[in-house]
Amino acid sequence: MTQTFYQRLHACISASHSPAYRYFEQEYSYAQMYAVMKKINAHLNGCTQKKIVIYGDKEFEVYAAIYSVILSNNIWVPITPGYPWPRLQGMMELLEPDMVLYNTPLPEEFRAYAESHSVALKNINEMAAGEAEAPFTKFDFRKNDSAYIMFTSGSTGVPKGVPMTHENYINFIDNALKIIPFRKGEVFSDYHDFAFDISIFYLFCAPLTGSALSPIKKDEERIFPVAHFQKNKVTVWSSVPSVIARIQKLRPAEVIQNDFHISFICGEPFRLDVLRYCLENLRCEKVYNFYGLTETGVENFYHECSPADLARFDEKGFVPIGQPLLGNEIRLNADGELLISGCQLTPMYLAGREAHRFEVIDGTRWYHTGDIVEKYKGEYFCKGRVDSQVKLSGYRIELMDIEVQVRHFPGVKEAVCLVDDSQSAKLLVCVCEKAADAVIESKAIKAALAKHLPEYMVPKKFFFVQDMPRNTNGKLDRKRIREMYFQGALT
Amino acid sequence: MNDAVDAKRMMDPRLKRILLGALLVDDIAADDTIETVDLWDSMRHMELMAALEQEYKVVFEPEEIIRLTSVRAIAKFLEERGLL
Repeated sequence: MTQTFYQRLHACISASHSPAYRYFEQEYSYAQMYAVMKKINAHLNGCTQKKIVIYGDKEFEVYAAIYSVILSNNIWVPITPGYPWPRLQGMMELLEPDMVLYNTPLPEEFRAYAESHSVALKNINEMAAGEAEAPFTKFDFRKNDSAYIMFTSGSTGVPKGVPMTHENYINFIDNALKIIPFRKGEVFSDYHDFAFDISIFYLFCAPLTGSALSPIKKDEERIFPVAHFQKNKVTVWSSVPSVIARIQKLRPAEVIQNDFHISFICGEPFRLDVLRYCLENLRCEKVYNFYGLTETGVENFYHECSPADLARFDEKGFVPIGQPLLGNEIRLNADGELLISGCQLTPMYLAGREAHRFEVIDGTRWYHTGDIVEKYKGEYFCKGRVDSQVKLSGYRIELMDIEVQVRHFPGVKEAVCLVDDSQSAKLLVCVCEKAADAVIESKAIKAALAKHLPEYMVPKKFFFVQDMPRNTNGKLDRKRIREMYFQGALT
Repeated sequence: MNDAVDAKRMMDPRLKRILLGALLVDDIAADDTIETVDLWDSMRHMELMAALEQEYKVVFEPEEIIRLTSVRAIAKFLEERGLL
C-alpha cells in the first residue's frame, strides 16, 4: 500500500504539466515543481529517515522542498516561522533534528543551536538554484516508518511531538480521495500553516488529483480571504469554520461569488448557521465536516452535510462529526470520552511523553482523545472536553501550557486561563492570583509571555485577584473562577 | 492627501466611538493598528468593518477590508470619500 501510494504521488508530480501552484499572477506547473525537487533532493545526499525541519513561508520552492523530503523517505517537520525561541528550543531538544531547510531568515539562536548540535543548515533557494539533480527512484518505504512529525500544545509547557507513520496518514488520504468527488484540475486553497495538520489534506490530495495549490500568504489575506479565493479561482476550500464565520459576519445576506464546489471544514465545532452560509451564500455544492486529531492521523470522522441537516440537527445547533473513517475503531468510556484505535494511531509521542494518553484494552492500543462525544439521530457529535484543552482558530491549546508560563512572572502566585466564548470572537483570558504587595501590569506580562508563547497563546485580557477560589482539597476551583468571570465579578 | 490626515481628524469623535465600540477597548490612538491593539483580531475586524459600513453608508471591497487594518488607513479612506 505504502509503495503504491508513493509511486502514484511521484507519477502525479513528475509526469504532469498541469498547474501545481497558483498565487495571483504567479503560476508553476508540476513539471517545474519536479525540476526544483530533483535539485533539492541532490542536497539530501541520499539520506533516508532523517528528521528534516522545514522552516519556511509559502513560496513555491518550499512546496518543492516538502515533497522532496517526503519522496526521499525522510521525515518532514514543519515549523512555522515566528515561534519564540525558548519554545522552539524545547521543540528542537525533543526532536533532535538532522537538518534544517529554510527560506526565511533563521533566528540567531536557532542558527547557533544548529551549529552547536551538528545540524545541517541549508537554504532552500540556494538548493533550488543549484546545478546538481537527483531523481527519486526508490519508493519501498516501510509503512511503520515516520513520514512527518508535528507538534501540539502540551500541558507541561513544552509542545508534544507527534510522529506520523506512512500508514497513519495515508489511510486518511485514501479515505478523503474515496469520499470527496474531486474533479481533475481543482484549485485547493492553502489557508493554514503547514504545521497545522489540515495541510496534509491539501498537500497530498492536490497532486493526486492533478490539482493546484493556492497559498494564502499574507496576514491581511487571511483576515478576509474573499479576494484571494475569487481571483485565484479556488474550487476546493479547506479551513476551520471560523474563517467562513468571519465572511458571514460582514456579508450575512449576500451571495458571495466564488468557484467552490467542495468545502472541507474541520478543526472546530461547525455551527449550523455557518453551514447554512456555506450552502446558501457561498453556494457550495459539497460541504464536509471532518473531525480528527494530530495523534490519530489528521481526521477520523466525517459528515457529508446537506440542507436537511439544518432542521434535523437544529436542537444541537452544530453539524455532527458524523461517522468514523474506514480503518478507525472507536469506543466511548464511562465518561463519554472518545477513544480511537486503528491504523491511523501514532506509535507514541516523541521521547515517550504523556504515555498515559495511550491505553491497552483487551490487547488493542487506544488513544484517549479527551473529547466527549455522544450519538444523536445516528450521528456522532462532539460535546466538550474532559480536560482543560481548548481550541482557538483551530489551534489545540492546553490551557496549562499557558498557565505554566504565566506563573513564572514575578508576583504571580497562581494562574487560570479560560476562553470567553460569549461573543462572536472567542477571547483568551487569564485570571492571576498575585502576591499582596505585587503591582503587575497586563502589558508587561503579555510582553513576557510573547517571548515564550506563539501569539495565539498569549491571553488578551488579564484579571488579578488576591485569593483564588479553591475547593476543600485546596485545589484551584476552575469552575468557580469561570463563574466569577462570567458574572463580571473580576476586575 | 497622504498619511498627513491630521491627528485631529483621525480622532473624529464619531470614528472614535465606532472604533471603541467595535473593538471593545477603552481607548485607541491615531497610530494604532491591528498589530498594536490586542483585542483587534480578525473577527473584531469584521465587527469594525460592519459598523463602519453601517455608520458611513459605504460598502467595502474585499481588498479594502484587508487593507483597512489601521486607524490611519481607515481615516484616510473616509477622508478621501469626504466622509470624515
